[in-house]
Formats: sequence, C-alpha cells, structure tokens
Amino acid sequence: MPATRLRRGKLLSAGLVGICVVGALVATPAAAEPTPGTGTRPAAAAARAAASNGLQLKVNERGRISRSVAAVASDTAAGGTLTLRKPAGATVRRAYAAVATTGFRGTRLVEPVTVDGEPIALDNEVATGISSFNYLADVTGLLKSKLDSAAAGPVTFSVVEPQPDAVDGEIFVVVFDDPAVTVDLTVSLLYGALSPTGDEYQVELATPINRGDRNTRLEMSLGISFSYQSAGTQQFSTVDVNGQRLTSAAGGEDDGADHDGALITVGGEGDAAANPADAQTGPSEPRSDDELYDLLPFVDDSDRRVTVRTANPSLDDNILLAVFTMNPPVTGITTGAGPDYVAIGDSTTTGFSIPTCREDREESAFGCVGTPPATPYPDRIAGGFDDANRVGIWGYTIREAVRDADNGRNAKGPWRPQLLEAEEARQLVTVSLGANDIRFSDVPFWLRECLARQFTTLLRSTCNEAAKTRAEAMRPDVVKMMNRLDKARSNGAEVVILLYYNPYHIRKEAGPFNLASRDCSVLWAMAEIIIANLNRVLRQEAEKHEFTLAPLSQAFSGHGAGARDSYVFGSDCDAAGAASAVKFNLGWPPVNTGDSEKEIHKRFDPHPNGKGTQTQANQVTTAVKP
Amino acid sequence: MRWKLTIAAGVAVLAATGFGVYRAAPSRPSIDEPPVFVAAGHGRSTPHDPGPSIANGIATFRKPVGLATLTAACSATATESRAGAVILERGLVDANTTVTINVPCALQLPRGANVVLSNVRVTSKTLNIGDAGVSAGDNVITVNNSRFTGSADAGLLVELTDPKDNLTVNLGTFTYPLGVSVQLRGDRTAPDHGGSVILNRPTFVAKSPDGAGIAISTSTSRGNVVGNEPVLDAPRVAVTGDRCTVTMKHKKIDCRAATLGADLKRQAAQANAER
Repeated sequence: MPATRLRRGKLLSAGLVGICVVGALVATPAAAEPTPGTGTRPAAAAARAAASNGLQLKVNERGRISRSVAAVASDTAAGGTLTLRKPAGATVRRAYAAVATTGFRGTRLVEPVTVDGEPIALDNEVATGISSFNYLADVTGLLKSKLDSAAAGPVTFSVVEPQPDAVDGEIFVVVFDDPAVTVDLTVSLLYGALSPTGDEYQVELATPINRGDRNTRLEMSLGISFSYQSAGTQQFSTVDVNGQRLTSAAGGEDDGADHDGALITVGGEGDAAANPADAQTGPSEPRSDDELYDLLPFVDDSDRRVTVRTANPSLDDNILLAVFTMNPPVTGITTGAGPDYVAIGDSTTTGFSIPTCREDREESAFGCVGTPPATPYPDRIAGGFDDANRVGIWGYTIREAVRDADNGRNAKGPWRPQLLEAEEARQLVTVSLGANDIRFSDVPFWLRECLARQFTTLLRSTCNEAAKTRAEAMRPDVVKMMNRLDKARSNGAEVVILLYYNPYHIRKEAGPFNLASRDCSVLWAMAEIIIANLNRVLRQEAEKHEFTLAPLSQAFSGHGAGARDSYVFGSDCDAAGAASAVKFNLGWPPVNTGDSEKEIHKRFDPHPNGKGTQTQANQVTTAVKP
Repeated sequence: MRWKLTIAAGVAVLAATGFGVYRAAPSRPSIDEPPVFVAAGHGRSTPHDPGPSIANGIATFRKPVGLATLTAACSATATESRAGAVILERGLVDANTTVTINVPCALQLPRGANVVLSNVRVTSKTLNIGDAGVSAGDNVITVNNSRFTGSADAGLLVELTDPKDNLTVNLGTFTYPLGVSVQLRGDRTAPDHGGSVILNRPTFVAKSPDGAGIAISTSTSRGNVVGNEPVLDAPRVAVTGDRCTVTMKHKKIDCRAATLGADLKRQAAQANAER
C-alpha cells in the first residue's frame, strides 16, 4: 500500500476520535508525517480501564490435534490472501477468526469482513486500550468444507475488508483432528484486549513438565495489531515467562504492510519456534521477532504452571490473541488479578439443607438448585471485601477439589475448580472441606461401621480406629490441597482452615421439661470420634503451612440436632432412627426410593442453619489475624 | 404380649424331614402360647386367597393371603418406575411354598395384621414390610425356617412403628446384597418407645461392599432385641435397642444403646485426646 494512503488514513482516523486527539493531529505539520501504529497515548489508568479484563480463555481444544495459525491484511477491494496449512489426512475440528480494527479510530466495525465471500460474524466485541475494537468469531462453518476436502499443504482463502483502512487485519486459528499426532495436545486460545500497560496469565498443565520427553511441546503464538517496526521503529511488546524475559521485540507488521490499516502479525505459518537471540534487544525490523515462541527454555522439570507476562511500553499496540499449543495439555488458564476473598468448601458453605438442595452440579455452581434457607457464612464475611468469590459445592470432597484443579476443570459443570480460584485470592481464603472425604454425613454408614466390631471382637468396638484409618487415608489429598493453597498465601492472602463441629446433641430434648428426652450418646459419640480424627489431620497439615485455624466445636457444643436451640437443620440424634436410611427403602406409597432415604437423612441433617452459619462466620472473623 | 420362642430344634428336625410346618395361631399369639405345630404333607397350605381391590396402584386384601397371591399383587401394581404396593389388612400366612417376586414390592400391615411364614422359599427384588402408611396398631411377624433370597440389587427392610410390634425369626436364611434392615422403634408418634425383635438362629447375609449391611434396632426406650446365635454376615452390622442381648458363639454381647453409648464416649474421649 502506498504511503500516501497511509497518511490519509491516519488523519481521517484522527477525526473520528475525541477533541484532544483531533487537536493533536491538526497541530501536527504535514511535513512531519505521523509514524504508523501511533496515536495519542492514553494515560495508563485509562488504558487499564478500557481493557481491564485482559485476555480470557475462549477455546481449549484437547486431543490428537494440530493447528494452523495465520494472519492477513486486506488493502484492496480484491482482498488479501490467507494461507493456512492443512496436515495430511486432517479434518477441521474448530476454526476461529479474530479481527482487529485500526488503532485510535474509535470506530466499531459495522460491515463484516468476509472470507471467500462469506461474512465473519462480529462476535465478542472488545474495546481496546488504544481506541479500537477486536472481534472473535467461530468460523468453522466457513472453512471446514474447503479445508477438509483440500489436499495436504497450503490452502488459500480470500479475505476482504469492506473498509480496509478501518481494519488492521485478521488472524485465523484452525484446530485439526490430525491422524499424525499420537499424543494429546491442547490448543488454547486466549482472546480479548490485553492492557497495554501489561497483564499476566497463568497456564495450568495436566501433568508435570518433562523436558526430556520428545512429545513435550510448549509453544505460544501472540497475535498483535497496530504495531509498526519498520526501520527499527520501537513499537514493541515485551514477554516474560516465569519471570524471565523472552523477548523485547514482539509486534510489527509481519503479516500485513507498513501502514495503518495493515499492521498485523501472529506467530504461525511461515514462522519458526526459535526465540529471539537477544531477549533484551528491541526490534530492528518487523521480523526481529516472529511472535512464535518456544517456552521450554523457561520451565523446569515438574513444573505444572507457566506464567506469562506481557507489556507494551509504547502503550499503542494491541495484543488481542494468544495461542498455546501444548503437551502436557493445558487444563486451565487464568488471567488478571485474583479476587480479595475466595471461600472454598463443601455443603457447609452453601447455606442449603438436605430438603432444599436439589443436587445438580451442571446447573448450579454450588451443586444445589434452589434457594438456600440460610445465609452461607462466606456471604456474611464477604461484605468486608471489594471482591469476593464463594465457590463451595454441595457434597464436594478434597479429593474432588484436587483432581478438578489438576484437570483444570470440574468433573461436572462448566465451573472453574475452586482450588484454582483460591490460588488467586489476595486477602483471604476460607476452607471448609474434608467432611465428605471421611463420609461424615452418612450416619447409617458410620452407625454400622462403628457398631459392627462388637460382633467380631465382643465389645472392643473400634470406631476410633475406623475413623482414624479413614482420616489418614484422606491425608495425601489434604497435603495436595494445602500445597495448592500456598499459592494464595504467597499472594498475601490469609488461609483459614475451618475445623468441623459435632452436629449432634448428646440428648434429644423432647416433651415438657425434657421428660421425653432420649439419650443420644451413640450418635453424639460417633460424630465426636469422626470429627476428632478429621480435625486432627486438617490441623496437623494446616500447621505445617502456618495456615490459620478456625475451630467450631466449642461454639456448636450444645447446639446440635436434638437440642432445642439447634444450630443445624437436623432435629434428631437418636442413632436407632438413622438405620432406616437405606437405599432400598421404597417408601409408602412407593414412588421414589431416593426421597424416602432423603427423608431420613433430613432428620439427621448436619448442615448449619442461620444460627450455625452466623457462628461459622463469627469464628472465622475471630480467627483471622488482625 | 410377646411371642414365645418355639423350640428351634424341633423345627429343624421336622423341617428337614419335610413333614412339618409351623402354623401360627390364627389370633395374636400369646407369650405363653406357642405356635401351633401341625404335621402336613409336601405342598402348599395357603389359605383362601381372595382377590384384592386395586385403587391408585395399591392392592388391598381384606382377608389373609398367601405368598402366591401376594406375588401376583406385587406384579399387578408395579410399574417401570414404581414398586408394587400391597396392603394386607388381615395379614400374610403361608407355608411350604416357593415363590419368586419379580418386582420390588412394599407391603403394609394395618392394625392387627400379622405375618406368619413357615418353610417358605422366596426369591425377590427389594422387599419392604412396614406399617407407617396404614392404621396404627400392633403387628406380629413370625418367620420360621424360611429362605429369602434377594437379587443383586435388592435389600430387605422391615420397619414397624408401633410400640408393641414384634418380629420373631426362627432359623432360616435371609440373603439380600444391598442390606437387611429391621427397624421396630415404636416411633409412629413421638417420643418413640418399644419394639421387639427376637432372633433364634437365623442367618442374615448382606455382602455388597456398597450396601447397607445389617441393621437391627428397636427404640432406645423400652425397645428389646434378643439374639440367640444369629449369623450376621455383612461388612457392616448394627444391632441395638434399649435392652439388647445377642449371644454369638456362646458369648453374650451387650448391645444395649446405653452400653454402646458409653463405649463410644470412651473412644470419643480418647480420640479427642489424640491431638
């Protein structure tokens, strides 16, 4: 594209933005042509505000896959030519297109860009920190047919921008199911508008890195628009990986042309994974850095997380895309700063009771559909924080929490694993997990477990041994959980481990003057034994990490199920009644066997009611260090 | 009134010969009144089985029925999503018969309805016998020298809720992988009290690792459990009541709730001390 058009484009674009920008450009003498890829630099705070969400994970495809990434700029009505590369025998799984409008124009795209004559949807619009807009669309339907039927090798498409000046370019990412790939890879696509003042994201991997494994592949592509590097112009972004500088030369118009409306680059087809020879040196020309990076030199064996930080010192480039092609596979990518307070846990963090919880982890982040009858204790605490996140799940175990965090996603539902959320907390993490690992709320189970031994050892009942065995079995998971919580502590967050309470009273108080009371020693003592063993493991491991403990036993003492002033939803503590809670109770009339069992469990419901959740909150508040 | 234990040895001998069956007294048995033992030939001794009235998916019999009739009623009232449902207003009486109940089935015993089964062989899906859904009143269940066998996905639940309800099992084998649960807590109205379970050398088997095991309980107030050499073959077993004594291998086990509670409290103190 001739340089004259470039200059006109820059001046026209200036007229579309605010008065200050217009003033600045009008004041610019014609002889002093503006450098492409520049504009009035926004104040850092304004830039942050405009693009405060940074890049977000949009796609994480996993399997025997490969990818083709390429960018194109269209300067004429005939459009530009996009060249993707198809592996032999591969078929398109998904395809995406990102579109970046020209920087400092402040104009939304109205007419869509087309590929082979078909419009690319203007989806996922994001305002950038340089007064432009980014878009991301699923274009599988536009590319699949041609690519699937094409021979292996380069496959071209015609990409047309209705307003070439208004659009810097397009980046395409195609994920193929590839028969030549023999191990699981992930192709993860982050999209948005990275703050020009810098941002950070953490890439979680399914398994520890083994640098010696020939299948290990840690590749990152960046997609950048409105960066101009011809003649050594210093418009660049820096990339740090795990605290080490990877490049000081990211950006440039590698895949476009040297003028506004064509400043586009992405690491992909035609690029090499080799990193810049000198990470500290800025660009001398657009291809000083090809935006395709190998992260392997920046990681250690057994690492499971890669932290990438980008910054754009010139404050006028637009990083809109990052693509990770990885083995070990990526399980999750987090971006930006974490919340102040994260509450992780099980049902005791949800405010639900057994009869009010319709269990559904797909539909509800808390595992229960319905309205909780009690205010969850994290909600009582959250008022003291600007940004709080309650992520406890009904029935959740530490084992599940660790597994889901390792996998980067919950086994059920689209919700982010709670331990990954907790790792980002900056001020406080509360943890209420462990009771389900020890199967605490299964009263019939423990009843039989605790009373069985007498029939083999004659009154040498060893409920304590059974509880101890079960508590010790969960210790490895507790250790893994606490290790993950160290990350929150390193952020400056205080980690509070809530110990469990005995939800049963020692007597079932009934009748006037308690004349019809029943002794509840069996269930009370069983619970006491289980809780003591569970709490011991939690306490011992928490102390190793110098986490704060919030004991609840004393505060709940005298307020268990069966007490008149109960802090839990249950009303019964007489062990004999719990034995009817069996799955083969058909009920009467027999309709739903689950309901019948649930009815019994309801009487022994150990979950905290309103008084209970207030007590939990009080204990946490008391335990937190000033 | 309580059912008096019958001489098990006599049952065993005569049952083995195939010439004897228990026949319960037609009215509620007296504690001093042993069941009538009569000689009988092979084959069924089922009383007249009148047809039931069926309404809302529940079959109701107003006269005593036998197992074959019960089996048919269970099948007639069961659907794909619901177990069979039968009310036995005058109870269930049978002997020397073999039936297969191919559907899960729930039986209800109104006031005064008793069950007396002797030398029967029952193969079934999940089977429930209860009284909470019908009129209050005492029930007596007596099962002599019988074999109940559940399918792999089956459990046996006996749950009676009146204070003077009584279950007596003499010999026999009850094999239900998901569990055998016998609950006589007298808890139809609060506060619960009573219930009586007498086990005279029966065998209970509930071996599924994920199952409920064997649970036998009466109320912790005036409930009574007596076990005379029962075989309790399950990964988890719970037997308790206000009064509870089980003799196994000639050793007497004190399974009173108070004793269990005291023992568990000692363990709790120990657990709390192990910090």
